[in-house]
Order: sequence, then C-alpha cells, then structure tokens
Amino acid sequence: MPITFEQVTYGYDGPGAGTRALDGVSLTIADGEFVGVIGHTGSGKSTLAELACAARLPDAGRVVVDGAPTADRRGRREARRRVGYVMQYPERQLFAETVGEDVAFGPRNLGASRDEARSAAREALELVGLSPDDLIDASPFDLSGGQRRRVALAGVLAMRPRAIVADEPTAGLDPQARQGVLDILRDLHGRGVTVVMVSHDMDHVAALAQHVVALAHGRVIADGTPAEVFSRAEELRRAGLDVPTAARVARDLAARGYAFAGEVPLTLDALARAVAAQAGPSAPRASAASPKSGPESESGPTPELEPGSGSGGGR
Amino acid sequence: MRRIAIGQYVRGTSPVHRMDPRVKLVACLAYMVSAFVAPAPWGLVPVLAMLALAIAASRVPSRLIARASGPLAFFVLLTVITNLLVVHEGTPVASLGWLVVTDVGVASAVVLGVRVLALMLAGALVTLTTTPVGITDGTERLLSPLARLGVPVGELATMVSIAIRFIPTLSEEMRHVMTAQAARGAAVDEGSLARRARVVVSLIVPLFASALRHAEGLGDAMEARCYVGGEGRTHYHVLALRRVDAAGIAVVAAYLAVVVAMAVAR
Ligand SMILES: Nc1ncnc2c1ncn2[C@@H]1O[C@H](COP(=O)(O)OP(=O)(O)OP(=O)(O)O)[C@@H](O)[C@H]1O
Ligand SMILES: [Mg+2]
Repeated sequence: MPITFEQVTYGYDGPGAGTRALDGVSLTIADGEFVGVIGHTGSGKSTLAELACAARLPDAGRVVVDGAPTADRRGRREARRRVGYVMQYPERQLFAETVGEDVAFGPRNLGASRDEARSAAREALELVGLSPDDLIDASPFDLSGGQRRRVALAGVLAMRPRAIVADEPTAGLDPQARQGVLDILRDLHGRGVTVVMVSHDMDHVAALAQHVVALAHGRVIADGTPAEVFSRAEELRRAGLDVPTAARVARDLAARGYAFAGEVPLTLDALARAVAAQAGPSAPRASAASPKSGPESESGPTPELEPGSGSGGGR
Repeated sequence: MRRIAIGQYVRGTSPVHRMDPRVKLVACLAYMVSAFVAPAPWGLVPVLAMLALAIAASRVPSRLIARASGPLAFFVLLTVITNLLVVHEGTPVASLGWLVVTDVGVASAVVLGVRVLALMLAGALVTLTTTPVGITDGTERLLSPLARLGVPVGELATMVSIAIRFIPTLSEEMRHVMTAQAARGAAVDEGSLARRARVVVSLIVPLFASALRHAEGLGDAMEARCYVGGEGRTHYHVLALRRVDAAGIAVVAAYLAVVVAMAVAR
C-alpha cells in the first residue's frame, strides 16, 4: 500500500509553535516495499511512524495513504484499518487474560465474530512462530520478553494489515529474539505487505530494506537504496549515524589495498563474497565459498550482526 | 492530546526562582488568604499590584502563565456565572425568563472573579518557578513539626515527589499505548458500552503494569543505593535563607500590612 508524505511538518507544541519534530518531509513508500527509517535520537523517526499510520495528523502538508489523505475522516479510517502500527516495546500494549483474547482484540474491534477473530488469532500466532495450541490460553504476562513481543506483533497482524509500521521492533531483545522479529518482518514483506521499520541498527536495515530514509533534526537528509544512502558515510556520520559493519570493514580493507569493484558491500555475506573474490585463485580455500556466489542472496537467513550498533538495552 | 502540563516548571534565574521554596509556599498561602480578606473594591488594588509585581519579577513569559492557568479559567468562569445568577439583591439590569441579573450581582461576580483569579495565578506562579523537588522539600520542612506527632512527613514527601516525577513518564507511555490500541480499532469514543468498557480495560491494565514495572525498578535502584526512610536523612539541596528571601519576605510583609490595615480601617 503506497504511503506518501508531501511537505509534512509536525510539532508537539501545536502548529507554528515550538520546535518541529518533522520539518518539510517529503517521501514515497511504494506498494510492497521494505523501508528502513534511520536517524539519531530525537530526529523524528517515531513521529514519522505515527503520522504514517494516521495516529497523528500533519500540521502542514499531507500524508496520503493508498490515495486518500489522512486529514480526511474517511482516509484516516481506512489508513488506521489498513496500516498496522507496532509501537516501541509493543508488549506494553498487552492487557487481556489470555494470549488468544489479546490477539483477537483487533479483529473483534473491526467487527469480526468470535470464531472469525479466534481463527485470525491462531493464524497470526503461527505467522509469528508461536504455537497457538500451546499458548492461546496462556496469560501474556507469564511469557518471556521475546514471546511477549511476538504476541504483540501477532495482535497487529491478526488484523491483516496491508502495510505495517514498526518502531524499533528489536529494541531491548536478546540477539536470538531480535533475529526472530526480523525474520517475521522479512516473511511479511515476502507476502506482499509493505513494511516500514524504524531502526537504530544499520546492519538490520542493510540486511532487510530496499529503501532507506535517513532523518536528522526532523528533515530527510538521505533517501534512496541502501547502497546510495550508505555510500554517503561522511554525511551520515555528521548526522550522528553510522554505516553497516560490513561497509566499515570494507572501507578499512580498502585503505589497506583491497579494491572493491562496484558497490560497497553492505552485509557480511556480500563482504565475504567480495573478499573471497579478491583472494581469488591464489587462496585455495576461497573456491569453497564461491559456489554460493550468485548476486545478492535474497533467500538466505538474515545475518545477525552485532558489533557496535546494538539497538538499545534496558528492558 | 499533545503535552500534559501539570505543575510545569519553567527554568529561570529570576529572584522569584531563586527564593527558598519554603518562603514561596508560605508567602503564597498568606497571599491567597489576603486575596479573600482584602475589602472590595479598593483592597483589590494592592492584591493585583502584588500579583503583577511577582509576575514581573519572575520574568516568566505571560504566554506560559496563561497556558498554565488555562485549565483553571473554567473555575473562574464558573464562579462568575454562579454569582451573576444567584445574587438577587439590587436593581435588575437584565433578565431572561426566571434568570435575573442585578447590579449587585454583577459587582460581586467581578469581585469574586478577581479574587479567585489572583488565587490561581499565585498558585500557578509558584509551580512555574519552583522545581517539583523544591516544592516537596519545602513542604516537608514546613510540615516537619508534625513528625513529632508521629506523622511520617519524610516518607510522605518522598512518595509525593516520586509520584510527581513519574507523571510525565507514565503519561508518555499511556499515550503510546492509546495510539497502539487505537490502531487496533479500539477508540474510547466509539461503539457500544460493553465495547467501550473493554477499550478502557485495554488502557488501564497496561498503565498498571507499567506503573508496577517502574515501581519495582525504582525500588531496586533505591535499595541498591542503601535508601532507608525515617529520621536522620539529610538533604542534598540544603535549604537556607538568603538575601533574595529577605527581600521577598520584606515585600510580602509590607503588602500584607497594607491589606490588613485596609481591612481593619473599614
Ligand atoms: N510527546 C511528546 N511531546 C513533546 N515533544 C515530543 C514528544 N515526542 C517527541 N517529542 C519531540 O519531538 C522530536 C522527535 O521525537 P521522536 O520521538 O520522533 O524522535 P525519534 O527519532 O523517534 O527518537 P528516538 O530514537 O529517541 O526514539 C524530539 O525532539 C522530541 O523531543
Ligand atoms: Mg522513537
């Protein structure tokens, strides 16, 4: 579902007053795209996410979801129905006595019957990799942090959104749970759902996004493919952002004489392939890695990359 | 809902900001009483003059004062309207069916409106120029004589300051949960009564859950730093009277003398 921002301005102190959380933001999210939104703390990422799902309305400019501006009552209703919103720490939205009831809350609100809602809940739980039979009658408050996050995600997915906006969906999770959430988002994207993911982790963005939007002080400072955006390392650094680990390593290697033909590798897979290609015939073991040397392995598991760019701690 | 303004403190370095919270609290209380005992109409002149002086000395922009007292304007309006309609002495100046407004009614409505307004602005000025910590510390010190009677003044003050501290945190979290539930089709202002009740539950449970989570975290953090309540705790910010306080006390005392003199002279 396409979402466009046209010269959108938003301030928390009301129109025209105080500082602007978003200032003249224009961007287009195409149907079925996976978009990564990056930016320093306070740059306006969450504000952008809330505007995209019509939880907030712009002070000036327009947000258009599937052809209808969110400022119109009808457009707003449709946007809220079709765009799923996963807030930061979404497990905080859990409230029902059982997992099943909580996940079915959305469909019930949209008017589904008890049975329909229950089957939508089962389906959504399966989608997030939880076994409905084991968990549907459990209390959400008895689950682990990672499981709770999955249940909360299922609560959004049960409404069968055509687009999903997730605000730092991996924040505060351990690496394994983090990988699980990323896989869910990748899977959704594979099913044709438009995904907007706000993230502090450049490696996650590089691994998943087709389109990256970088914000600084409420303005868009870069908008394009990951390769385009991350090639502007200096600008990003000035905006308090980093480039993916692979790109950093590649840069250091380049400084020591490696030559990278074409695009800078953004994932460790791509980096490994590029390095292996350089090691070439002289290194006998390089050939072992080469059979998998197709262009961009779309299907492989997301490499979980940690160093340096952890996405927030705490709980 | 954009931002919740409860006891919003506006940073500043004015004499009013620098005054000891105890002095401000006592002065404010005395002023509030004086605003009601000052004889109308001339007694209101020093009342308003004192307020204007305090506001000017605080250097808080009038825009912020208006915003902080905005919600209270409702009470002022209510006072004025009740007075207009309830007082029946004097000559009628307007009537609508059984509603009669008299000249005495108008006069008393205006006078009472001014008194209530002065009261509220004085309160707003104290919260605008004093940090929440300052207010609780000041209150604790002022109430400390009650500790001899067995009232746990220190614990109460700590509780209040913690509660104030968590208002913005919880309201921010609440806002996110409201957004998230609204995105799941749960709006408080739609649907049948049963459904609305369910929506309220979907907000209240997360609120309690996060209040408990914060309480647990804070409890651990305080214990880890060896917090013990009870007697003998010292303060990081030691309250002490300084020159500004002496000046403030002098001004307020002079003002009170004027008002008392006017009240007695009548
Ligand atoms: N509820 C609010 N009331 C007032 N100002 C706010 C509110 N929420 C955000 N802001 C301000 O708006 C700006 C953008 O905030 P936003 O939450 O969108 O940033 P962010 O990029 O999501 O940051 P983070 O990475 O810390 O989550 C910040 O300057 C912030 O202080
Ligand atoms: Mg944010």
